[in-house]
Amino acid sequence: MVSATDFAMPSLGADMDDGVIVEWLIEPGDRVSRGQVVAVVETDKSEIEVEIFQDARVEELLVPAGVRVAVGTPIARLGGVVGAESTTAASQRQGSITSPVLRRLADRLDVDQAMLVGSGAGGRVRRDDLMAAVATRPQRRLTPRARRLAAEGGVDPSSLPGDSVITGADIEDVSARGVEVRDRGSHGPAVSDPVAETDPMRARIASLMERSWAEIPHFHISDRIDLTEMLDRLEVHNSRVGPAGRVLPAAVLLCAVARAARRVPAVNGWWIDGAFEAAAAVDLAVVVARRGGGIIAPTIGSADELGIVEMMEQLNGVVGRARAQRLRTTDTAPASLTVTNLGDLGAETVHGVILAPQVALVGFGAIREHVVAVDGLIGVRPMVSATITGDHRSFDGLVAARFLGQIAAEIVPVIAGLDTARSVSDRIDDLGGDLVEERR
Amino acid sequence: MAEPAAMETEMTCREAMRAALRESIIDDDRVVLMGEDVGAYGGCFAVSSGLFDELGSERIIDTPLSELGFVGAGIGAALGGMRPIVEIMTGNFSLLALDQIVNTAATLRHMSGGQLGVPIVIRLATGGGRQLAAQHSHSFDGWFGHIPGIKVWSPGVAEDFRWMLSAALADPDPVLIFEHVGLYGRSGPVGARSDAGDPERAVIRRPGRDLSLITFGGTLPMVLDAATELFGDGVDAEVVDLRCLRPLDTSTMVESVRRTHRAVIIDEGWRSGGISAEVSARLAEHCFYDLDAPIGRVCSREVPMPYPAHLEAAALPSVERIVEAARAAMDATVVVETW
Amino acid sequence: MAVERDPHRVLTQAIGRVAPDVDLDAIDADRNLREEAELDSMDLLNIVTAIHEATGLEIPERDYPHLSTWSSFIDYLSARL
Repeated sequence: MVSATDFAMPSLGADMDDGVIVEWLIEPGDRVSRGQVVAVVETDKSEIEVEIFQDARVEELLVPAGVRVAVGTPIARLGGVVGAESTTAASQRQGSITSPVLRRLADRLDVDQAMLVGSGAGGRVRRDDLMAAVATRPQRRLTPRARRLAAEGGVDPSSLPGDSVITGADIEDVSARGVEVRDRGSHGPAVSDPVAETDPMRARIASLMERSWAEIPHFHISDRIDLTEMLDRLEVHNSRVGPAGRVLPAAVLLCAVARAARRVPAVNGWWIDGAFEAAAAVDLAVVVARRGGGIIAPTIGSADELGIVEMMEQLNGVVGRARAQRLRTTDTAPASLTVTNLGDLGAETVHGVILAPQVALVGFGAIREHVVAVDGLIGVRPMVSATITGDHRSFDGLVAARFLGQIAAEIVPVIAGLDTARSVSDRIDDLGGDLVEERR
Repeated sequence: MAEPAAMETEMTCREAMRAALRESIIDDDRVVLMGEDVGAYGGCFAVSSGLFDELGSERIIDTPLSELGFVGAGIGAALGGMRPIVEIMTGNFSLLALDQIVNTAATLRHMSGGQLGVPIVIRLATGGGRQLAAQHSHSFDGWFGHIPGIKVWSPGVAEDFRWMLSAALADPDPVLIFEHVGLYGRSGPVGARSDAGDPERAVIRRPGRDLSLITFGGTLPMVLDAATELFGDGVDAEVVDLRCLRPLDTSTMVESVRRTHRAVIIDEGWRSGGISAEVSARLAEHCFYDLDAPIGRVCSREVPMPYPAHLEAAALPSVERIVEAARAAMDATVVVETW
Repeated sequence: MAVERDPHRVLTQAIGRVAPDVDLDAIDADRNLREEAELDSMDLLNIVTAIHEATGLEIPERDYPHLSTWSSFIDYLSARL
């Protein structure tokens, strides 16, 4: 038998005098263990998850959610450890999101956390559970006028972010500005458009970039990656299939980045409240330039799990939708890493700005032929300049270099699944035929 | 001779109606005013004060306390070529005359194949807010708006108090004018008759872009106050004064809502089956695809009007409730009142 | 349905489908088409795919150099449609 003790409002920073209990994650009767997050407390600076430092049983919550109390005020009464009890009520409860990233995502996507069923250990909600809830939830509500205007203007209302009722004005905004996404969370895809200075979206992007630039100590490392083998094999593949089945180098590079990020998880996630949160999946934001200016960065979810053909389809889809200004909700999901690819019309190298709170950005320049040393001889090789831009708070040059090396190593394996072995007839085709030209 | 009001002057609604009565009676030998205490006493709300002394008992006729009787007499006089103005002390007592109004005045033109008309004007004081309790405070204007064969007008500003009467007298069919008792003491500018326009057309009392507040009669001043408060919060409300509940001017309200995409209807009558329901239905019929919010309503609470001042205030529409309903409409939601 | 054989129309329709915002009138027929119209590799692939679907003509990647200007693209199509 152990006597009851009080759990007091902790000091979560030297300048904290008091805090508001935003949410209790435990209830009387729960068994809690050291390190468990038991409450969310709002301070002047942010919401902080409060951990408990002992194994105990919750006897009573002394302060209800929503109340501000001074540091040191008892907020819960704890009893001693009482042997092996059955699973705690808290862990059985539905919707126990412990990750702040997922919680934020749930808020942004307006998912009712109480309705979530966790499939992780102890009923813990995983990212997949959240996305499944998003996929199956009822449609957004449109006013009659919004529905009519959307139909007349060919606007896809499901692309509008937020959770409020979509009104006619929202649809008119989309039609007028030609931009779906007006309100993105801090780690949703970024959009930039050089139209009016008064454009609220422009202002939001400006503040996002400003914040990124002010907050993130950027560093860049870059190297050229030899693409000879990949391009050769793609050429074979592309010559054997119709135009619709062809694969572009950009898709191969995206696959390589996603797979490399899985191997180097330190670059894939978010810097939140002074600490790095690794992302569970590699959700790649792809920066798409829009003709006439502006960029939009739709997300390709779980990119590390995509084969090259799927990636090509996904890329074609998001680029098309971004260009046509018809993004889908899934395209606007938060990303864990961003890739910007200047493409063959672009310049040699790009040093970009990280989209906070992400911690890295991968930039590819144009694929160009360079004179390089090959096996002690001078050769001409198609190469791409790859740049890792990193948040130096989160990781260092060595990790970035490892990531870059991993990207280079993943490139050829990405297309291993394609039939790219050169046959004799291919070689003859290369040499003869009625259209003998340079190969590229 | 009545003096022409060519120049705009400021007067109370009571003075405006008195001037209208006086002018009508002087200008047309067929016009008389009849009702309870309209003569020597000067009218229960002092609207006809002084007219008895000036115009005499032949033109300003005190009647016995029988609505059924004197409304019937008025109808008979109208059938016989007179142009009677019958005052019913409060709209609540009009129920005693319901048979005359609904079964006789409203039907004769139809039942006689157009041979008989009833050019009667019935003036009714209406509405609450003066602690006159449940038998003297209810709004039945919406009920009468239900009846074909009569017209139902409801002035909300002094100018309409001044000019609706002559237009009603010119109408060959029965016209009921509901005068909200809360308005009698309010002043407003009164210009020439032509400025008041056709009383059967609704008027935009305040143009605005963000939502349409649709009302009439006694609630018009508080709706204008609510619009002012909303404007301070960045919501630019348009105020539509219906003025006429039968025939309803559908096109003005519909055009307004097509501009603003949101509507809140304010009616001192009860919500269930009231004129607010009719207005709401017409908007849904005509503007459904222009709406950006559910149609909101602010009406009297569904109770007999309480006597205590604070309970009466709680039962009646208020600026606060109108602002709340307007804000809900701006958020594309609606305040659903449960009582 | 008759297959479109007019190279101008084929190319105009393909670009219009892939990049409807491109002002074709502003394009200099003898300058680099992809730079003129800001077409990236994905756009070019989609244009080639659109032409394939409209006419059955399958343009291999090795022929891309023929597509460098509006004029050369038209010449290329004229010889094959």
